[in-house]
Amino acid sequence: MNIKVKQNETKEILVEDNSSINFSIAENASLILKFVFFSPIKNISINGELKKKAKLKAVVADFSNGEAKMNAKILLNEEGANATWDLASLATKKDQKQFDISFIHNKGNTKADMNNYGVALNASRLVFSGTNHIQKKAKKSNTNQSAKIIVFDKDASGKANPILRIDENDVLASHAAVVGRLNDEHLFYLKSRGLTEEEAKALIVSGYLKPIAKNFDTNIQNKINKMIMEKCHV
Amino acid sequence: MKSLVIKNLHVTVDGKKILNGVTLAINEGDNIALLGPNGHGKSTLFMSIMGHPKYHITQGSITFNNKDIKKLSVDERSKLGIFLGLQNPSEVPGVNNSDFLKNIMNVRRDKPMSLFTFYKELEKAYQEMEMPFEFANRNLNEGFSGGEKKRNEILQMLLLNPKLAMLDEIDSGLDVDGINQVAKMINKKHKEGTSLLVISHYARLFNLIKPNRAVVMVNGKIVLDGKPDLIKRIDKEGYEWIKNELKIEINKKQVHSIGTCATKVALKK
Repeated sequence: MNIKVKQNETKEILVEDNSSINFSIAENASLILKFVFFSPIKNISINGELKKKAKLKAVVADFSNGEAKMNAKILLNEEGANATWDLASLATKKDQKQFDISFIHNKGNTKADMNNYGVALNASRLVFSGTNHIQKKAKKSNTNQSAKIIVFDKDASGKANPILRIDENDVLASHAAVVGRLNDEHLFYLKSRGLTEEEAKALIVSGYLKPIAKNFDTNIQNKINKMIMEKCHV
Repeated sequence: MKSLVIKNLHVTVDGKKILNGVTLAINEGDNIALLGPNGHGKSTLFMSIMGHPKYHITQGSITFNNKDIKKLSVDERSKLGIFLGLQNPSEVPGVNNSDFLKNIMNVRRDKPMSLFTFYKELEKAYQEMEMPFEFANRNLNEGFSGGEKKRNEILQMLLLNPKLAMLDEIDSGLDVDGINQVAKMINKKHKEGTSLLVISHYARLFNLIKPNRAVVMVNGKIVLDGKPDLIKRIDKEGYEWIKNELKIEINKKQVHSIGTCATKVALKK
């Protein structure tokens, strides 16, 4: 799918299938790009560029099964471009999921904010690789990245690789990555208050992944909630 | 009426024996001080009653209101009305405090509460605990100070209305105002019918909640079960006199430092 957002225009696109996206956002234009996956996704690439003072808000809610691979490369090509990225992914059973996301600041005064949240259950594997690259001469750019994964079961694994590449001095950059394992003490604590193991897990998964739901309409929100409950067997 | 009855309970943690035949009967309405040197099995007893998977019962029985609870899951024990206020409550990542409280209240109701009823009850409990209501929107115990965690334990006790509350060093980490506040709420629940089994190393808390019984645990056994004046004596004299009067050796090998419980020692090996 090719998306062109013209000068001063605002577009909102919802993607629910396996299609790759190319976009360009013209001066002063803005694009809201939402992805929600309930069925398998194989290989998705997202490539796009932002012009002067263009805005991108990308939201990804991934509740797919099986193997999932997503590649996103977003170029902040002109002054004042501003992009946010929020992703939530739930990996269960033997899912293998990998998300590679990069933001490249080619000009100064550009801003990027990337947040990836994930939960890995059963024997699944979830990997977030994020790169924020500030090129030379992209002065006063501001780039942030955070990744949080919680791993439940001993056969499940999670990995977060947050990379900052900074080739200019006069910039602001931050990154944070946490991969936490749910331990027996957490579960015991929740169970000691009357929650079954499944209820306890669902509560934690919801805590991580539900915030993404508010970006979608009620129909999709309900589907997300239902999916969380199903995947935790409540 | 008997509430909790423990007979000849033997418990191991990672193969190490910690309880060596605990026998204790709690009557409804009891308010019991559980005393004993560090590392002699007090917390282990609580964990075993609650059903923590690391604590293996090798012998003996636990009944609650005449029901054998040894084979029940942790959540089933909780739903029967047993509450454990932990010494070190876990910080649970990602879980919103008020979501958590709503869930634990709803699982013991036939029908979920309306949001309005829930917020009313929650607001009342926060007021009673003199905690700012903003705590409801933070993550469960995440970034809470020691004292805030303990208040959050008592808040849960208020909302869950247990038949038996076991409180493990609920006063540690609390400042003086905090101890007074927590004691006030413990007394309130006791008046409403909650039986109490309370571990503390300090007479201050017991002066405020006035137990009717004091029980002393040494070497993984109950060695004394008597009047509350035991608390004063132990506060003044420590545990040495027990050794002489009862002619028992107090096993010091288990004690590494203040605040080290027997289980931690076992797990380190």
